[in-house]
Amino acid sequence: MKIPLDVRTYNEGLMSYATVHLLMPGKKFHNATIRGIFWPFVDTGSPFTVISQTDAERLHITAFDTPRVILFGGAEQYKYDIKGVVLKVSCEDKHTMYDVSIPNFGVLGPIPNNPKSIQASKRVPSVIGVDLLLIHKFSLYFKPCERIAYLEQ
Amino acid sequence: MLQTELEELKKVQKTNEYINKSYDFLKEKYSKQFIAIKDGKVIAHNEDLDAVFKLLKSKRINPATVFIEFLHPRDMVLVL
Repeated sequence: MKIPLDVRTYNEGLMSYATVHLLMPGKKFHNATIRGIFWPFVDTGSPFTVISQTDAERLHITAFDTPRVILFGGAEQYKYDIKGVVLKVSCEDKHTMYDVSIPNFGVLGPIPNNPKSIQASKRVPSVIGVDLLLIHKFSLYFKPCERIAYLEQ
Repeated sequence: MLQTELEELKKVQKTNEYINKSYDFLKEKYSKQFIAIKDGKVIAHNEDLDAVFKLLKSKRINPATVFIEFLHPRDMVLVL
C-alpha cells in the first residue's frame, strides 16, 4: 500500500509533503467539530510528528498539557502532546483513506518571554516524524531528482 | 464520514497543484510574508500572521482548509 507524497521546495530544498485530514472527535470550536487539512513534510530527522503553531491556530487546536522544550527550526519551542486526534491520508487509488493516527500528537507553541521562540514558532512547518513511520511500519521512498516520493507499507 | 474526508482532501487538490507549480514565483513575490492559498489562488498575504487570520475572518473564510505558510527570504535558509 502506497501513500503518495508531493515533492516541492520548502525554503531552498526539496521536501516530501503529505496532505493530511485531521479530526478531533468530541472537540468543538463554535459548535463545529475540529477538523481540517494540514500539509506536513516527512522529516526523518524529527523523532516526533508535530503540527506547527500556525496550523494549530488555523484548525483551532489548543493544548494545555505540560509541555516539553524541544529545539525545532533553530529555536526552542514548547511541544504539547494531545491524544484522540484522528489523522487520515488518501491512498494511491485516491478512493481509499488510510488512518495514520498516533497515540501522542505534538502541538508546537512558543515559549513565553522568549522572543526568538515567539518569532520562530509561527514560521516553522508541521512535520511527520519517525514516530508515525514506526507505528505504521512505513518506509519512505524519496527520489528528488524525479520529484517522486511516497510512504509504503 | 469517510466520503466527507475524501471530499475534503480532494477539495485541496487545486491548492496542492498550485503550490507545487508556483512555489518559486510565490517565494519571490511574497518573500518574508505569510501567504494564504485556497482553491489555487492567493487569498491573503501579510508579514503579520494575525493580519492574515483577520482578513480571512472578514471574508468569512474558514481557515481549516486554507494553506498558510511563511515564505522565508532567500538570504535566510532554514535547516530543521
